[in-house]
Amino acid sequence: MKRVIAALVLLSLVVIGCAVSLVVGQREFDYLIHLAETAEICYRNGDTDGALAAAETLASEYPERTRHFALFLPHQALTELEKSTASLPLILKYGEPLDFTAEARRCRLMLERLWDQEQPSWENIV
Amino acid sequence: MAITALRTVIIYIVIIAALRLAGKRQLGELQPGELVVTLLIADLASVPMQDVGIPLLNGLVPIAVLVALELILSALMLKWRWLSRLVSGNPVVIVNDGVLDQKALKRLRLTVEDLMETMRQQEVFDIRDVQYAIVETNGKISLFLKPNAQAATRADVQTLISDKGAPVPIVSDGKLIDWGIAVCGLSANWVEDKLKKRGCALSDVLLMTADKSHKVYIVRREVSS
Repeated sequence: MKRVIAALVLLSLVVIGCAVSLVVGQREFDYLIHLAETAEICYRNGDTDGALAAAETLASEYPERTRHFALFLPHQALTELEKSTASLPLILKYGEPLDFTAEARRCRLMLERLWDQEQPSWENIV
Repeated sequence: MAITALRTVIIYIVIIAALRLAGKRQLGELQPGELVVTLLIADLASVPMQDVGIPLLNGLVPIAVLVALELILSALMLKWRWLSRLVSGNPVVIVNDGVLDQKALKRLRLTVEDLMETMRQQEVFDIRDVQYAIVETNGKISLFLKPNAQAATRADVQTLISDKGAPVPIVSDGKLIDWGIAVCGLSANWVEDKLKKRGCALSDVLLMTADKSHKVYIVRREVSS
């Protein structure tokens, strides 16, 4: 009976862990995607300062906000995204205009894709 | 490299804990489901151990889920016999009163050679001596011999023997063995008194055994020169 209780506790911990990771992940990824989107839209509307502010916030907050995601998300994808977010302010300051739009979009799509892969949807399960 | 080493330590601890939680049956005679879980645990553990790019939890969570499901399934199988039959199957009689059930043998995809090999391993060479041969749910074949083929026991020859029980260790490497002391119906004080009478300290004892008649045997530690 003790072992069954231990098994139920273990399963409950896994379920709670999954639920917490989904809720926290959704919140953080929504925020990061919003920043990438803001940078992209601001730049397209000619608001370079707004784009730079969003890109810098994204670059500075990404490592902190995704710190715990390394527990369950592929490290390579997280590192790739970190490189992309870190490069956004630099491209805006020193790079070509088209490069920034492309990189901001790439960053947003990578964030969306990575989080989509974590959703417990039927497509992802099978 | 340090990360790989530390991950290996964590995974090792988790596997030991998982197998301990799964119980002794897991390590001994495996049922089909238990065998699958054991193989899966070994495989799941090796992936995050080798590749540091894969999150550790990707290996640990499936292990936890598998062990938990295995334990819950075991508990349900104890409660519901039909579930046990569904998961583990039933024992099948393949020899009944010396007669081979060829249909059962075919259904189990066992050859006569397999049966004969098992018989030989149990020192049975004539199928006519076998009362029952049963394929257990874990795949092992149990043999029950006809009375005239069985070795005579002391009861058969009506020899009276006193039951002293087998000697069990009560001190090992200078430390008291609680379960051994309990089996012999002794106490730690009794053991210490006995050693004192023999002029021997507990720490000097390499092995001390006792049986139910409280007969002891002591092996002292050799003094290194």
